[in-house]
Amino acid sequence: MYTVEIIERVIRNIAHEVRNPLTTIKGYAQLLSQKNEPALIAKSQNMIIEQSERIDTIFTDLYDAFTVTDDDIIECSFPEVFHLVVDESSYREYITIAHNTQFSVLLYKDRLQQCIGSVINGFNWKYFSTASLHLGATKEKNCNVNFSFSGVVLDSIPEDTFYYPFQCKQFFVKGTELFKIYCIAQRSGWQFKFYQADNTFTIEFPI
Amino acid sequence: MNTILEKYYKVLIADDEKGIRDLLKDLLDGSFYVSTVDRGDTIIDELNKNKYDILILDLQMPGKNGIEVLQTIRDLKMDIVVVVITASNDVQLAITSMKLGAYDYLVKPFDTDKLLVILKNIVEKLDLENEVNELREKVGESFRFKNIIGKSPKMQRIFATLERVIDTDSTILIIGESGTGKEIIAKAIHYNSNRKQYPFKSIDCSTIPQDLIGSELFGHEKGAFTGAIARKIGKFEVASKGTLFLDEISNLSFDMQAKLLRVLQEKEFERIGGNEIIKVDTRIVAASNRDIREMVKQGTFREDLYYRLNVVPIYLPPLKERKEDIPLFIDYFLSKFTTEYGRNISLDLQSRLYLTDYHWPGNVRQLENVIKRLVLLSTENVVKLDIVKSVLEFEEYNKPKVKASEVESENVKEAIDKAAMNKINQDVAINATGPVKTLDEIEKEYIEKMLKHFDYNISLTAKAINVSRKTMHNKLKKYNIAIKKTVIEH
Repeated sequence: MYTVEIIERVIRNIAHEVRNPLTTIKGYAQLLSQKNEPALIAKSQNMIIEQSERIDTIFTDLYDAFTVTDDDIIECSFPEVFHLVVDESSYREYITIAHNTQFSVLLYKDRLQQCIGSVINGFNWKYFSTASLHLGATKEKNCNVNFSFSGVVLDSIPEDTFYYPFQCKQFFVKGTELFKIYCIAQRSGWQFKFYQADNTFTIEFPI
Repeated sequence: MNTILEKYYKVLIADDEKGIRDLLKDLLDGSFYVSTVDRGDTIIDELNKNKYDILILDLQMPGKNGIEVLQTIRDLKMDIVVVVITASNDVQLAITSMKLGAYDYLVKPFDTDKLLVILKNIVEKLDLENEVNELREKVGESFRFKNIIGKSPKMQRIFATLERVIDTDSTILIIGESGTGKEIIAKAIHYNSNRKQYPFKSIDCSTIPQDLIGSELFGHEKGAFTGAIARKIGKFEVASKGTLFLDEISNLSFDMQAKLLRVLQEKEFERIGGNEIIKVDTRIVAASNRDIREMVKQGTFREDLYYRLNVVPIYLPPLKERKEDIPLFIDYFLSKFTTEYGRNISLDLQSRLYLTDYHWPGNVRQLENVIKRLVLLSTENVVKLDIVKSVLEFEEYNKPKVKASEVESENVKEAIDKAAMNKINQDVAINATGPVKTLDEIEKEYIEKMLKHFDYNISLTAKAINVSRKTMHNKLKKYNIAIKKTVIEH
């Protein structure tokens, strides 16, 4: 796909996302001019503030997705790196970690932790309450970190290496989670891919 | 908005954005009953559980997107008006939505006023549809079998047969004399069937010239023939999903019979001058006052078409064979016309018995006309037998004489211009708003006009009105009618 088409699609998705809170703001502003009920006035003001903050959040999330922290390549051991993120997460009850493979590799540890956090904290556990996630890592020619979902079919996510912002909003709360992993992978020389048949996301690192 | 709309219609708002759901609820509450859903895959369940009139549908939702929801609504033939709202300004999406039956399309962030205008238009449309449905229901009610006069065993058997086939797609052939109520039965079939919400259309194959009947039935494209200045949709197409009543089908030309047969077999046709194949699901009810079997034997009616039409044959008996129904008809028509003309008229027992025993060659239609005349002509509140006899005598003059003349005399047949005869009949007919005429006055006026029409030829006039020359002379004498031209006696 040409870069210009990618940019067009990214902007279209962002515009789409921003139009929802804009509609609410515009609608309540118009409603205020028609109705003069104290309760509605208070609600309208709250909604306008809330939706303005929502727009701010959308752009903050996007900026956050684009921004990759400065990081050094250091030794990273599995499965400990998973525990560092999972143990801090509110959703740890949904997550299992493979312990059969224990090894260490050199990589951007903080960036990997961001990617793991993006998946486990961004997934919409509230709606897909029967879903679970298994984290595992393998080392052969390359090192692979796998996020395998079960109890949910991620069928509308295409097998791709690039995900537009808000493209996978059906499964992820903010919609920028996979885009963020893509950005990190690009900056770090990693490969990020989804295997639909396995219901699994994989980050592949060169060793 | 609150002042414009009555809180009557139910709206379902489907959007995954809480802000939009809240906004639309605050906007529409008070004017509509409003409910909300936040996922695409819950919409159809909600529509199945509760009856909604309007769906405001966001196109991008988790679970099932708006396009898929529109497709399901169309596939399930759900009766709901859909307004699409979307944050995408993709034109193709708008086109697809409209093709799938969306009523309108709004791109976020939209003006709430625009949405209100759309909803106002929808409410007007729904109000109109409800009104049409109520009227259709009222019309349908009058054609329920229980409301059709027919207590006689023969009619009860007919109703029982029809009840069995009413919801099938079977073609029904009604055979019966003129005036026996074939069209009423056809309408009853339609309004009692599961096709009642779709159109009932009828066409009288005896009154439309054969070269025009194809256009009436199948329609034509612009320029298909001289005078085809615009596309015309035929009755088959208009009545699709409904019922088409083909009255006096025995009058169809052989060529047209072949075309009709094809539609019955294939359920498709092309408009005259067109190439597009139009598929229809139209139930056919045909009727004839002639014995079509006999026509088949004579080779004037296609045998294959006859068998196609004659899936369920109904033989409507003449009135004289269902005398039990005559008192019911008398009461029904008396009530109808006394109400219509604001008169308080009843019949004495002898009149009732006489009317019940009469042979009614013109069947129910004739009985209706006679009661109408009695209501209009009677100067007394209770109609006596002599008045009834006079009116029936007038009837004997009036209706059959043209037919008699057609059969009896070729010369007279040629001389009688049917249109002119009808005009005379109409001229002489009782004017509901004018002064009430006596029977003698009507008869005198009738004879004068007929004489004038036949250029004062007494023989021809006598034949035309089916009386002897002697009676004709007596009438001239009785009414003191002057012959204005030299009389040429034959």
